[in-house]
Amino acid sequence: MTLTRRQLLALPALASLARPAAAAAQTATGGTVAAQTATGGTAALRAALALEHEAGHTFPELGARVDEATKELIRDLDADHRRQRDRLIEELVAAGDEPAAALPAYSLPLPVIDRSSALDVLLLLEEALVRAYAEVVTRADRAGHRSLAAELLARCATHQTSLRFARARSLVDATDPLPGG
Amino acid sequence: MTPAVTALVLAALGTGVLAGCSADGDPAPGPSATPSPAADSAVVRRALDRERALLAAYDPAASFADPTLASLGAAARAHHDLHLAALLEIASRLGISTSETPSAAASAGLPTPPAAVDDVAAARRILALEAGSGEIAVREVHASADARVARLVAQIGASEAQHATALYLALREGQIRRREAPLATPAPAAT
Repeated sequence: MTLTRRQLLALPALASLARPAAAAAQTATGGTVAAQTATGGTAALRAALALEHEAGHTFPELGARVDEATKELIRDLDADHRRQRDRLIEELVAAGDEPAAALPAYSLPLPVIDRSSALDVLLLLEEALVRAYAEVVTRADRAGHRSLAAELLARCATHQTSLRFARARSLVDATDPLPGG
Repeated sequence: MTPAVTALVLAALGTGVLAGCSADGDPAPGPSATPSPAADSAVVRRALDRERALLAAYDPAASFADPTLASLGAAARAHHDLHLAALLEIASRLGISTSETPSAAASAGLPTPPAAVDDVAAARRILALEAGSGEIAVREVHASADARVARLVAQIGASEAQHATALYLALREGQIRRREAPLATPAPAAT
């Protein structure tokens, strides 16, 4: 699935990636946390955390709207994202940062009318996460952050393959040459 | 498929995509705590060795009888060609020697699964190679000092994890069937 930049930026949290790094991390109240002093790597990590928060809201919401088999996949991916979110929070805290909390609510980037559109939304989110983690790898100023991002990039890339297969029941175009562009 | 299931299945295969990189575990230790330009050269050279080894493993793909495996193999091979080209380009920019050593495949650190006797075995063999290579690439990012090298190696690792996942799904769903190599065409009966 290749998304246009416009589609990607439709994701609320991903839109922060398009803004300057200093403004990338937002709290639930819309304010910035230490944004003026955040390094590029920390800002990129915060942007990834914002997307993981969004995943923590979106996966359970859409998991409730699909068939049992798909529900099980979504439940597993949701659990994976929660672990990823917790690890990002741990990394940020260890770096002396104050991780932002989740927003009170998230709007879906696309209307969800059936199983297929639900999977489209989840694929959009995974695509955004893959790009966000690739960005952390590029901008990280700590080797630990870079390693973590590389690991989570690979995990989200495998999520993409699983979701693409679930959506199309086909493995054609289920993989990418360089996930994250 | 779920990531947890994938890890279990791949562990059973004697490898583990992202082993040492579980979302709930500690990251695997990198080979170097203090990345340096010399370390980047080594990271790129090892990545080149892995890509060459993977491309060699896909050589028989053209003869796969199973259409799903043939299709997945063709796509993955194209990706590995692209990985190799991207690595050669970045090596050129960084002034890294890219000559292939005679023992390139052996030094790539990839697992050596048993030889394939049919398409299912071939798929499992390639799955193990992709998973092993992806796992190593993700771990190697830790040793990289150059952001471009780190990003490329991380993306290559993610792509290989996807290849392993796609093969796992194809096997699990029965989309790759056990077929032995076709027998030679019998000679026409004498009249």
